[in-house]
Amino acid sequence: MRNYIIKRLLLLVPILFGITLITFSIIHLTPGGFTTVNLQMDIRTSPDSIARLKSLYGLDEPLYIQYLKWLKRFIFFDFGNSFLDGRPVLIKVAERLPATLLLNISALILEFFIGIILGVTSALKRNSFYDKSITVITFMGYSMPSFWLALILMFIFGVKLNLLPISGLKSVNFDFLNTGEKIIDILKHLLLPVFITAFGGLAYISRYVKNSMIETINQQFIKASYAKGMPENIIIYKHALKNSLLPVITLLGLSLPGLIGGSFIFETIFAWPGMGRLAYEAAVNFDYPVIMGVVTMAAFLTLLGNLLADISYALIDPRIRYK
Amino acid sequence: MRNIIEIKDLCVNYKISSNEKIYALKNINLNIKKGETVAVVGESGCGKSTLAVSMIKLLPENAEIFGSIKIDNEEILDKNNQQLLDIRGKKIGMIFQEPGASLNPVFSIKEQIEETIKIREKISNKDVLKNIGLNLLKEVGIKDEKRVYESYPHQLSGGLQQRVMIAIALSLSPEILVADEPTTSLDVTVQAQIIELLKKLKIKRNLTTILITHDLHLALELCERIVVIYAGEIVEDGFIRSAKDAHHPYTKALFEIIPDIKKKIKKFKVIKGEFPDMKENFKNCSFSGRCEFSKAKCRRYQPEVVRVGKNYVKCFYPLKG
Repeated sequence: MRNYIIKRLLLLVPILFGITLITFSIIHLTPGGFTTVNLQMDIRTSPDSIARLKSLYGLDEPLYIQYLKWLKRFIFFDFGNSFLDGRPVLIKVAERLPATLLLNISALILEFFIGIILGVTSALKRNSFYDKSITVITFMGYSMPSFWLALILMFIFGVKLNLLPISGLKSVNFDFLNTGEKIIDILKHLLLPVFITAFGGLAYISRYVKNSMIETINQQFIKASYAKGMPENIIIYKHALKNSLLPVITLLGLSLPGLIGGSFIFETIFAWPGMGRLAYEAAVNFDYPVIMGVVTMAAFLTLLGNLLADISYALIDPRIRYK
Repeated sequence: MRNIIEIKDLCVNYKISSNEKIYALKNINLNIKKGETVAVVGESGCGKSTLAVSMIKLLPENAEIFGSIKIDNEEILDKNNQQLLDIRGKKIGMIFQEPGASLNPVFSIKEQIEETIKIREKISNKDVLKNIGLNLLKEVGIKDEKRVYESYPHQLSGGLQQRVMIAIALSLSPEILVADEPTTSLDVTVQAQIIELLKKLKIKRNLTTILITHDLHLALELCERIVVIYAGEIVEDGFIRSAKDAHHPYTKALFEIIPDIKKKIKKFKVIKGEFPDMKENFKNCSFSGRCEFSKAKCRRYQPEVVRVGKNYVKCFYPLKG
């Protein structure tokens, strides 16, 4: 097991290298560029000042030299400074990551928790009215565009009923609240975005769990468990559930990239200070260091997430553990 | 001896669509005495496994069941899931074919043996549980019981897996052991070992054993009484050792198709014709289409069960042996 983890960690190096190379090439191949967007549109800029700016940021050197320089700094975890405000990329990411993680992890937990419950219960009552209503409701969530649903819910709960705040992570008076009120304030802000994110993914997970559960309860070992005199609830929630959760772990591994990346549209609608907006702002401004920083960190965390999913797979399924 | 199992007019149908049914068992009448060893034999799809799971009322959702099954004078078919727990495992232990598929792949043998005892016997002391578990494994002839106890199912051979299944089936000390094709997926030497084990356990624990099989050799090896099922009906029930003892043409044919190792034969003997469609509810003798002795009456009416010698036979013209 330990050897396996070390091997997998070493494998991350070439993959990560490939990702940085491809990202670097793509953003530098994109028409436009930092100087074009920020200076050349302005008729007052002289060609001379553009050249000076290029040499200041090292953009006048050949691409491969720029990449190697970036790589050299990256090895020491130095992602450079943002072109726009001169602040270190790491600090900019560190400011934005918690908001995205808070939103997405809460949504993911809610989504899997409810999704698994819905999946199991509709597997047990398959083809019933309950099962069919769950299918309709979850697919409604799946097919509704989340930004549209967000606007509707904001209108109902924020504007009409005035129950929930409609944007941001904190209220304006956040700093003047005591600890309890601060938590409630953040929870109130989280409610709508978390609900909408989770709602969209429910269909996916509940269907997966349902099919896997139906497959499991038709297995012979479930019949054998009944025959040896185990009570039904233990058979369903211990024996069958553990077996049918195996494919769900893969699903969990696949949802990890979204945790870190964030969603731009969603974060914009809710004025959520997260990674999605940071990446978008960097991209439209050709802020190379920030783009590279965000992509590399997201890629690294994604790869790590997949590794974690594989390890937890082995923890649940002994057949994989011993290979 | 009293009857421990009394099955009366048992019918089981499987609904496969709104207007189609499979008639898996038809009017089964079967009494089994305490301590008896009975083999239920028949072709694949004749309903013998359905008979096994009916005894613990463990039928799929699409099954309809009529009639009466009494275990120790208690009616099984009226019981709900909670009440059935007193039968399953405690009165009747059951083992299935393909032991690999009968064990849960993600739990260790230890967990699978101990959980039943823990919940049903309400024993929670870990050392006591482990002791019971290891003793069960020893009882079913596992020599390195400590290693097996900590293993997962996929780490064991088929023979070991089936021994573990037997240990689990015996863990609540049932009076009856139902073995549904216990040796089908095992190779021949292991088959013999499992049958030996069943013989030993039967004597040691005074078990009433029901062996469900399509292998007449195994049946003769373990049991005195043979119940022959054809197309969901018991066609003969009695003490049969060879074709000479058979009074139903089907039983006789079954014995005659066993190839003799001493004789050189070019072609295996077969029972001519096809197994009848189980979606039909026969009004005539179900075997009449394949029977070499069948007459017009056989093809029109259902025969009654008659006593011939020591056997009960469902035939108009039972063979005199």
